[in-house]
Amino acid sequence: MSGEKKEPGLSEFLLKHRQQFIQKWRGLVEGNLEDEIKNEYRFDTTDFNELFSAYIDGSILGNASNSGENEAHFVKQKINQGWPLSIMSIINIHFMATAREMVRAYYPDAFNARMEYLEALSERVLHNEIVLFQSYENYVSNLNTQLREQAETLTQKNTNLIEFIDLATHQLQAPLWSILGFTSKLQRKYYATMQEQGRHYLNRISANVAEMHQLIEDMTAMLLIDQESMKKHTVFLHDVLHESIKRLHSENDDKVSVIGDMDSLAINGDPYHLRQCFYNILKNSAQYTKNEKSATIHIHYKINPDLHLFFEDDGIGIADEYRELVFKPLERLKEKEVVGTGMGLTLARKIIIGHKGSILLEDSIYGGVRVHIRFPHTIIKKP
Amino acid sequence: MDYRQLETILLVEDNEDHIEHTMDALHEGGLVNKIIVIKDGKSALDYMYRRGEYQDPKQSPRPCLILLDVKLPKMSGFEILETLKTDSEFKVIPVILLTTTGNKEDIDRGARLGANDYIVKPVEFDNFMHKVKGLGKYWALISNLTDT
Amino acid sequence: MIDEDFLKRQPEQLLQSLNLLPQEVVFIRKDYTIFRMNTAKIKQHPKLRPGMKCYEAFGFHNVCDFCLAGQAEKIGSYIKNPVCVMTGKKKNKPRHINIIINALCGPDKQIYGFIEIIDNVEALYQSHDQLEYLNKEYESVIYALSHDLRSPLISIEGFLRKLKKSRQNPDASDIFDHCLGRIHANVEAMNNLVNVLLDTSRIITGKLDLQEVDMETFLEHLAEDIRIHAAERNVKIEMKGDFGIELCDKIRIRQVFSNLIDNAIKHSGGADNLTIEIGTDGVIYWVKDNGPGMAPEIKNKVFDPFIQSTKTDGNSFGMGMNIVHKIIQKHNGDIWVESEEGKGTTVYFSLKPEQPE
Repeated sequence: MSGEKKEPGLSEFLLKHRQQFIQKWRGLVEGNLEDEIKNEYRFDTTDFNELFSAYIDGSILGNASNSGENEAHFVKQKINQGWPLSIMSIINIHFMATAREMVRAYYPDAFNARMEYLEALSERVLHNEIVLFQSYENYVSNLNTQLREQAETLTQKNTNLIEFIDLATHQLQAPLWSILGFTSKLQRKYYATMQEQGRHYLNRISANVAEMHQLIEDMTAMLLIDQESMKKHTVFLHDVLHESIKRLHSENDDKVSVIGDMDSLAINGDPYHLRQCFYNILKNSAQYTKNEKSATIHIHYKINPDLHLFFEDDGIGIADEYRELVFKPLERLKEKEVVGTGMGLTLARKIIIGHKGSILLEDSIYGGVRVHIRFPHTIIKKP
Repeated sequence: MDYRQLETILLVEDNEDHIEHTMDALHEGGLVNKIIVIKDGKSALDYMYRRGEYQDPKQSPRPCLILLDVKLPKMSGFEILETLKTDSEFKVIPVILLTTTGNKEDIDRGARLGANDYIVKPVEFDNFMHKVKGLGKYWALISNLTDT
Repeated sequence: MIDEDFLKRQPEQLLQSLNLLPQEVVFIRKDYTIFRMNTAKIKQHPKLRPGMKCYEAFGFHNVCDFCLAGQAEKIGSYIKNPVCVMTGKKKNKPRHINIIINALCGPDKQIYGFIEIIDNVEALYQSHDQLEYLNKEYESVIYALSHDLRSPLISIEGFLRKLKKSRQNPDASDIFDHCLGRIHANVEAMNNLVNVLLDTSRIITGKLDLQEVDMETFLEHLAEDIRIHAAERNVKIEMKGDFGIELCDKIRIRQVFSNLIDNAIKHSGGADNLTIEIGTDGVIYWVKDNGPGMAPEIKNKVFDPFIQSTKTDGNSFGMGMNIVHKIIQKHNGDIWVESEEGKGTTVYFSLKPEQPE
């Protein structure tokens, strides 16, 4: 079913529909060559495949250095071998024609809309009158309108989605609060007289409510973190770090010790989100400790000229194969029984990307994980 | 077939509360089969292939039935299902998928990969027995055990 | 018609206008030499000069192919139609452009050259990309929210049941039962909401399962079901018009009619003589009731999510109409409401789903 498909570039399209394309192309070429030329210069499959590959690998993908061949080179070669220029251009024309037909078949709406517009433009140029030329300024603004309209539609859709999610999460919080309220009441009144089993049930209910609450919060956070919503100004990473550590300590009874500092490093960033980001990273390290030891996290940085931040822990580490997976939303490795929604690193990464940076997981000399954050030098603030 | 071999049921589930509910539901209903719980997909496969900590066949008996949760850490339940059902030795072991939603896409996907049936959580004893019986009289042994 | 003479006569004016265009425009003679280009073109190809052979400048892709082929009539049929969207290459960096090539004809209808227009649509792709990416993210949030909330709800439900069974203190049983009852009710509410969220996300992100549906039979069955369920309410359901075959998603359209009828019943204020008419004029469908009608403020927002009027029986989230709206949208149809207080409500809609490939 067609509909909302976005048209790909020709290269992606060709890669996907290679066989079909070659068949059609070949058919068109053979159908359009004059018989004498056909008889004199026989095409065989190898030629065709070579040429097709040269088109794709060479010029279409912009990968001229691939096996040293691009289509121009191929063409020159064939011309030297005696193929007339006319044949090469027939092949090329039909390459375009085939591409056009196939793209139109797969993405009719987008194709037709664009083509109608351009055709009109081209028609005008053809049937010139100077006065029409001046109306090209209208066409220019039409193009801009088109762009604007499409952007508007998508923006509207996004706004609708965000509003819906906002409403939905509020609706969800209401019964959640009720459940929490009544559970607390039960715990207050009956905990003392309850047997262990009953207590266990109430505790589990509270824990699950807390989990749902956190999930909803994390999902909402996901929405709020994008380029526009971040309020950036000069922020000292030292402060951000210490706020995050404070928050961690208030939850963890000082079972985490952090060594190292950010000195007077400052970047153009959003302190609220950066605090969330650092907190999430520290929390991860604090949770995945070896053998209930307290976690020790080493922090250091370097500037070369980008800013590289390192958070190293001595915990149980993360296997290579999962180092990309952990950034996926709601993904929990569960190497240990820890509490969490699986959104911590997802949100951290989103925040870092919102600052035009990147984040990676590497091995740490201390035995656990090294979180490597890179911020581009453009956002570093000189003291 | 060794009578003792037919006793074990494998439950692959990572959520502690769900494990508790499932075990309670089945035991309270009268099921006496041994239930082995494994909390992630990789370990479940290690168990089946008797690798790592599961090398001792006495400690890792072949299950007569596998209850497989769809959402697992690291590996999805569907991946496990596919591995089991394409293995010549394990494909005869019936697998019942556990899902939190009766999502048509999930059910279809499970069916395509060879799942024998599915249960929408929470697992309840009657429903469980109904599904097991639906797997064929071959499994009458489990229900007989519950009558004793 | 543009011809050489014309161009010679009006070079400045022509160029001025062409230079205003963001598109790259180049005129090429039949002997493959370039004779005019605009500033946009020069910007892309700074080494371009009039008199250069086009294949020296652009390689074999472009208009020069048409020149080289030398088969005028055959060329004509290609030239008239624009070339496809393609990713061109500029210093090995792919860019998104549209290429149109048209023939330049003299008054004798002979082709003497070509005009090539290249339209840079990079911006279109970029903003599209970005917005689409955000779009996907929001959709996945809805899905994740509804999917992943189920697990804890199932757990809580289980523990509630066990608490109920194991309740110890008979004296305090009233309060205990009350609390358990309230928790249970809220879990139910959340369950329902999660179902609604899941359904909504499926509608937004999913594909329609289109089939040819015999609307007459389909609606008669639906009406029967509703009559049975609403038996005590004494609701009359009538069909009006000739219902033919419609290409649509049967399950979703059933949801549409069902929700509309449910809404009518819910907002009827318990009236005894409620009549609901399901009708069509062949193109548009409607569900009409003789209930109390809607106030204008409600009518304007009736399709918004989570809108509830005070006249409901307290057992809904106000999502029914929103879902209806989304389903109709998904079918590329239109939906609108006519309603007046005291005079009843009619919801009209049409279906125009796209044909599957």
